[in-house]
Amino acid sequence: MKNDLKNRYIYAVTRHLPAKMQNDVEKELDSLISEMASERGNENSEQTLKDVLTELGEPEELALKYSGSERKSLISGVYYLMYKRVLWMVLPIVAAVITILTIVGLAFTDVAQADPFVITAIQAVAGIAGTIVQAFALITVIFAVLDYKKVDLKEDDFFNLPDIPEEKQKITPLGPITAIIVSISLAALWLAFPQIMGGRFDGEWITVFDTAVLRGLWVPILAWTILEIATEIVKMVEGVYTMRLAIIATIGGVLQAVCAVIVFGNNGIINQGFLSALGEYAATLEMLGGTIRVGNINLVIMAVMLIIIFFETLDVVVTAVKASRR
Amino acid sequence: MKKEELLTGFLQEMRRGTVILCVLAKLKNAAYGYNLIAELSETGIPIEANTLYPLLRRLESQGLLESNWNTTDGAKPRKYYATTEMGKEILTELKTQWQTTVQNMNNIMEAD
Repeated sequence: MKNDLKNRYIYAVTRHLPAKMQNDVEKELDSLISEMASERGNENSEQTLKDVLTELGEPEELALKYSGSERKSLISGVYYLMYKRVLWMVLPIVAAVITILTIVGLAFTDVAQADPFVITAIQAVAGIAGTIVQAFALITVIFAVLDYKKVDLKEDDFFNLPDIPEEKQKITPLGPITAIIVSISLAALWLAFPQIMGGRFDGEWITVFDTAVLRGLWVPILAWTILEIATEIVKMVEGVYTMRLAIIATIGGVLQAVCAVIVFGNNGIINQGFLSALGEYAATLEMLGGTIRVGNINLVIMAVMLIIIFFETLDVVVTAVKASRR
Repeated sequence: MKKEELLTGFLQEMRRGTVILCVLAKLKNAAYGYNLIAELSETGIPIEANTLYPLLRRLESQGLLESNWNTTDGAKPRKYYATTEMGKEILTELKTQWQTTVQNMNNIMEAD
């Protein structure tokens, strides 16, 4: 039994080592353990063997020492710093893109042939999570290989590093991430679940938007979302207000405004049934002594469009002003 | 953290660099691992087997030591290590640096 213990200990060490080392280390440890036990007086005693093995320590710890001090982790040093940065940049992008693709996929699913909503939602979430995990694994493998091969990733010329930004010019990831989440949520609402937006009239649920028309506008809606996400990702990557960011934000803002005009400029976007139901409801209310104004719906749409364009412009101006102060 | 723990950690850090110097110096005459542990211990440099054996292997892979299994004397086979020519050259450089460091450290301690 004592020999079993020794052999099992040696095996527990060598199994973690490269094959070419195993035989030599096995012989070396066998010799060492015998020497240590012999010095303690009773080489055949099980207690002596246990004392010796206790002194040598945990097999995994010993294997770690044998395997060399240079590679105790998969990704270390400078590679770890860059790995974390790339993860923070790439994973939100992957999450955003896969979410949009899933939403578009859902939007074009034939409702009659689709699984129940809960099943579809679980499948969608699982698909998104799976893709993010795959991206995480791929980035990890790439950096592990870069670290293993010791590929030089450092800046060659650290005498020409960029200026330190002032506190007001820094962009924290919270803002862009929030904007991306809001943008994806809106795209999901418009393309995948437009039926949620509506009202109940005489026991019947009537949607605000004509879902067929709205889904027919998937190209400008998708382009709008992608432009917003792309602009926010550039903000995150830059980390500070720069002229380059201001130019990108301006181009992105203009293109997003164009998308907004295409979407809200479509007269058929509002469900006529909803307008009729709202009108009837207003008339009923008036008869009962109440008041509700159903104004010109085109003016309401115009107002929404102008508000969106105002905020796009505001974002562009703020970015440009902050960048110009650097 | 307790004072004793801190001190133990500092001593370990201080010894870490000196062990290689000791090993290269001692193995100018070939010896097997356990014998080296005993010799170092007798000279007041205690080192544990689980530290020395992996170190010997690392120094061998770096070309500073060479090894041979001795299986001729009928006893348990023993792996003998000896400092290579490159190891001796490195040792000479390290000794010079060590003496300079000791001198500089003494100057700092005396000035304190």
